[in-house]
Amino acid sequence: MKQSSCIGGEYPVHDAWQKVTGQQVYTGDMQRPHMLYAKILFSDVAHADIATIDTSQAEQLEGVAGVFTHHNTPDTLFNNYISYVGQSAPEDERLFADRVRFVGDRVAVVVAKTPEIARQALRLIDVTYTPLPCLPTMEQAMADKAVSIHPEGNLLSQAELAVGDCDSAIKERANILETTSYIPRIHHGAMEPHVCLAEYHPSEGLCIWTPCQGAFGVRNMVARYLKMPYCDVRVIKTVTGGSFGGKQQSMLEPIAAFLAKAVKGSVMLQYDREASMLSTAVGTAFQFHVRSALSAEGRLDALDIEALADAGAYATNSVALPFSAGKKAMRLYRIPNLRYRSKSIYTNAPAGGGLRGWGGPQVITAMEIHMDQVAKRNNMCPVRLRMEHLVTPGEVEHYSKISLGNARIRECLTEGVELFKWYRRWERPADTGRFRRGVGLACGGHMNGYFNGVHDVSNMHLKVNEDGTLILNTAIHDQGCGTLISLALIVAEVLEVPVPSVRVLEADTHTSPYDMGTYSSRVTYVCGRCAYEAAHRVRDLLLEQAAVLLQKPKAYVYIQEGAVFVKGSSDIRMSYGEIAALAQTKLGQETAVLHGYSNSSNPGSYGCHFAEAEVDVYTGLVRITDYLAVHDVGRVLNRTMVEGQIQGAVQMGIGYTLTEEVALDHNAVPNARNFDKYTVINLPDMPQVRTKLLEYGGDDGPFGAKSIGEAALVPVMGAVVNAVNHALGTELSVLPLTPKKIVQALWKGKLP
Amino acid sequence: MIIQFVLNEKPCQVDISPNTRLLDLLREHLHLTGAKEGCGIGECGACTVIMDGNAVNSCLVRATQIQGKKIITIEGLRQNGEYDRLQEKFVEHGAVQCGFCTPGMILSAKALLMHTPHPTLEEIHRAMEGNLCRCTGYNKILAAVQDAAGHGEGET
Amino acid sequence: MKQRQIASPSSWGELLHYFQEAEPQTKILAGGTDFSVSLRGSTSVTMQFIDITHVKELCFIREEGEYLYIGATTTFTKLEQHPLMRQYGGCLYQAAGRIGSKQIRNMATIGGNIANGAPAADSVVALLALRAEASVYNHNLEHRWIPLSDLLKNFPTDCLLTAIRFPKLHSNACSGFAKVGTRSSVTISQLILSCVFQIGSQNNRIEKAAVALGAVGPHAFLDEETSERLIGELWDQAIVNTLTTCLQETIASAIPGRASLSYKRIAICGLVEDVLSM
Repeated sequence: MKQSSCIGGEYPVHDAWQKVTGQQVYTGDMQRPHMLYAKILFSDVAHADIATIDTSQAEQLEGVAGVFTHHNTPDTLFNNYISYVGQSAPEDERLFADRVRFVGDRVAVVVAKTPEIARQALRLIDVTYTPLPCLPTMEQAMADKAVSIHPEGNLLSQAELAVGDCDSAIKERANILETTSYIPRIHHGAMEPHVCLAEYHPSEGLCIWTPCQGAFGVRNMVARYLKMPYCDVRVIKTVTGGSFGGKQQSMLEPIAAFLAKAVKGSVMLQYDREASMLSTAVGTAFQFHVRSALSAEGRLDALDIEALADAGAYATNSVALPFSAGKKAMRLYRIPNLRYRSKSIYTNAPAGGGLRGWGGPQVITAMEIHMDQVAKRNNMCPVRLRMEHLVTPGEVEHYSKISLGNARIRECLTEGVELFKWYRRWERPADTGRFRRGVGLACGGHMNGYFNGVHDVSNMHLKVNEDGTLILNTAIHDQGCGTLISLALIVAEVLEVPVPSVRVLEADTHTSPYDMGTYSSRVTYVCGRCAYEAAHRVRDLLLEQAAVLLQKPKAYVYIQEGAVFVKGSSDIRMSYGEIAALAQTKLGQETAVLHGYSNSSNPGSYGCHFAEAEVDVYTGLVRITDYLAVHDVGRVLNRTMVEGQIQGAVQMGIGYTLTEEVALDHNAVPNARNFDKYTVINLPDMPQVRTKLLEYGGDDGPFGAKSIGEAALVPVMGAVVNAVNHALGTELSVLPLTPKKIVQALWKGKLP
Repeated sequence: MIIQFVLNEKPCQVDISPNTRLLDLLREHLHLTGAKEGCGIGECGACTVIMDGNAVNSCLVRATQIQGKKIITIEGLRQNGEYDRLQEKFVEHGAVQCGFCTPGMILSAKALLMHTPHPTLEEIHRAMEGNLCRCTGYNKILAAVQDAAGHGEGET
Repeated sequence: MKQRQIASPSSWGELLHYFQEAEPQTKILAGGTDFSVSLRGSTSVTMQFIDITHVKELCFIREEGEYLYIGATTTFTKLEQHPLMRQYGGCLYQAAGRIGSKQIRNMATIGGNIANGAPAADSVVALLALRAEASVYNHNLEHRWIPLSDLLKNFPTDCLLTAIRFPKLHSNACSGFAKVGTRSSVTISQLILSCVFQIGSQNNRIEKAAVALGAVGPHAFLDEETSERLIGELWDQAIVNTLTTCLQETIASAIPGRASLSYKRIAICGLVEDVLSM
């Protein structure tokens, strides 16, 4: 294959210029004729029946078009996670509750001419509640046999994945270690709060503009809920101001769609930060109990993980996600007896949902904390312990029985150890003063698509225009992470054209070919592969059509630098545009292909992260003073975005470890509803994140590329916790490691 | 109430409730949607504009307070078809992903460079600490600002 | 002022006129950074406020004799940039640059920070350590200067705060300000400490002391007991321990039984070190 001309280069996102000028239009910036505004009244109690709800005054306010509650909306139950037809998940949520199950549950909505009028009207709605006992924690929910958050009880589901026989292995060994850890409920924190615009005309049907991750899933869900034909429900993916899984589920769309249909017009449903934080989805909290058995030779014979997953008030994806976490637990280390068991528990908390990594960050963090404890207790080097067990290239993971592909996690670790000068820092004598430094590392990884789970298909239409530029029509959902430019690069590389000549279209259910959705890190590996193959098919079609038009055998024509030439005739040249135009007029054909790709592999994308932390033993504040991320990415398509995704993931992960939690008090009332009390890492507190990208290629992705966006978050928390524990000689494992927790662990209530 | 002010170097007059947030005045009345509401309480900086040379959170400023002031929004940064150096550097360095924080980030940096063409790292920290980003991890944003400042000559 | 009116005086005289006429629930809008947050989600139609940001007479930093005078609508950015503050403002100068973010500092005013009455008002702690006084008008336009520590104990809801003043700090004074929150900058303070010490040039002993705490109880306060205790002490390394121990006792008696007590009694060690190293 010829040398790359654009793969591996540095490119901004496709709409960077529109974004730096403020010209890019996000959903909340849109205007439609006679657009109305919806504002929702959310519950401020955690568990209660709505005894009475009086909306009469609100309805009478000038400018109000409608007020809706459980009285005048369907009582159909749904699950906002269900996307493809045939998917099942417990359906336990109503559009508007008659029983509220968490602070932030939807009680009523006003549609009005202006947002101010809508807010005023909300204040006129009179609700009385009959309180029910609330269960803020999993422990309480499991223990309480009298109070059921849903009719089937508080245990939502269980999962078990196992290889070998953990119980026997643990019985046989003397050297057993047990650790517990807690990974908190966090807010995705996309800077754009959730938003949806819906419009309904009897003749046009419904149109929904939404920054979603699965337009077809939204369409299926809304059409089913409103009992409308699919051909009358159009979902258009709009510019997304970040998602990280938080906009993966159909949370606002059914509401906005229902309202648009009710008022027969257009309705803008814009959540504010408080509603985004509490009333959409949170990153699922997990409680882990991990046991391992170490042989005399220093090898782990068994690893037994027990997990409690906090589903929150509604099931959404809390049957699938904890199970998926178990699958991820199987893909990092080779341990002959490995078991993962989880229980998903309903609580009166915001519902857990998709978050970057989908259970992987949680379970791998627990495992990496455990690994460090094993090393510490047995005086082993944490690097050596991991090298004993990390998976190797081509290894078959024993639970799913599929190959992990060209898994280069061992190289990530060894190269990182070298670059980070790990041993020098690790073996430094411990600091004893006020500021103490330590280092930590963690390994981790993520999938590349859905294969071996659900159908992993992507369809794309690639067309050559009459001037030689191209349109790639997809059902992609760029969340701001450079997806569209990646696909453009792939097509441009295959067809040897300039990158700006490839326009990539995003999901529109009326016009896009079907794609599963932009999650599970499938875009680079699966959708990218689809684009790659589509481009090759177009390449072939161009040759075919050119051959016919030039009346030459196909074997005589070839492509070079974006045009078709004939062997032995240097004066004959046909540009792609010429071919496309003549194909139309002379051959009656389009120069276009519709290509479907069904993925049949799922390698791991791996990374090893190294953190240096400095802890102030009096204030408990932690500063990350150095950070290195080494990632096995297969092939770099767009260097700028791969680095950017890693750096962004580290920002999220440091916050996940040290400062972020959607915490509830004993009445299940949140302690933080906005960024004043929900602390995320800001610019001064962010370290320079050095990145090293390993490109071993070899798998089915385009040019050998693998995913990065989710994989980059997975190792962060383990690395930071391990660094803090190294600095202080502690064994902290309940995240976030707030200043209070650190100070308590260090001083244990005594004064210095 | 009639409010008269200068917007992106042009005189502007609106008749508006004096309690209106500057953010809503810009977005809803003047259809300048570059400033975004990320939190509504002055914590995220996505609504940042420049007022009399100072970066401010437009979600916290009331219309009555802008009487007679000079306001610069992201829409006003591009002059005579030329991009501001900061805009170029943000694109060049890959400092833009989802872009929601970008207008506010650029304006905070702009306000800094207007006062301090060659800021120290500490000064950049102080100027940008009120602008949150969830996508980029800030590294490339910092690089873009430092690069823009490196060639600055008190112009822009 | 009639119902539903919002006044925007552009002079001191106009302001006094509106203030005198105002109904009791009228709010004062200075920087607006706290004001706007408190309004969030509330209806605008019943809002009554006087916007004082255009009253130039309220925005000043000047010296008069041994005092620095600061107008109520002086922003924190102006405070952190002014040469008089750098020279004589000590702990208040240090505090000014650490309040909120740059955007907040560009709008938030010292008067607003005081009048908002938050338990974790950073500048208030520094002002208490400076033994500042506040200039206050009541509805009958009667004026007085009142020590800020007294005003905080009994803050009338319908007064107009127009300025503060405090004795200039000279070279024989050591002052410092420190706070800790949930991250290193732009954070609601969990604990605030500010101190001003006058050191005798001959004997190197503390002649005057003012130690103030914030975010320990409902509002910031001057720890008079600790301040007294330090008078006469030698200005040397041993002060760190003495000050720390005293403050730990103060914190224990200010927030007995509170969940944050054990944290704050440790964190204060860090703040004392930070303040004394300034």
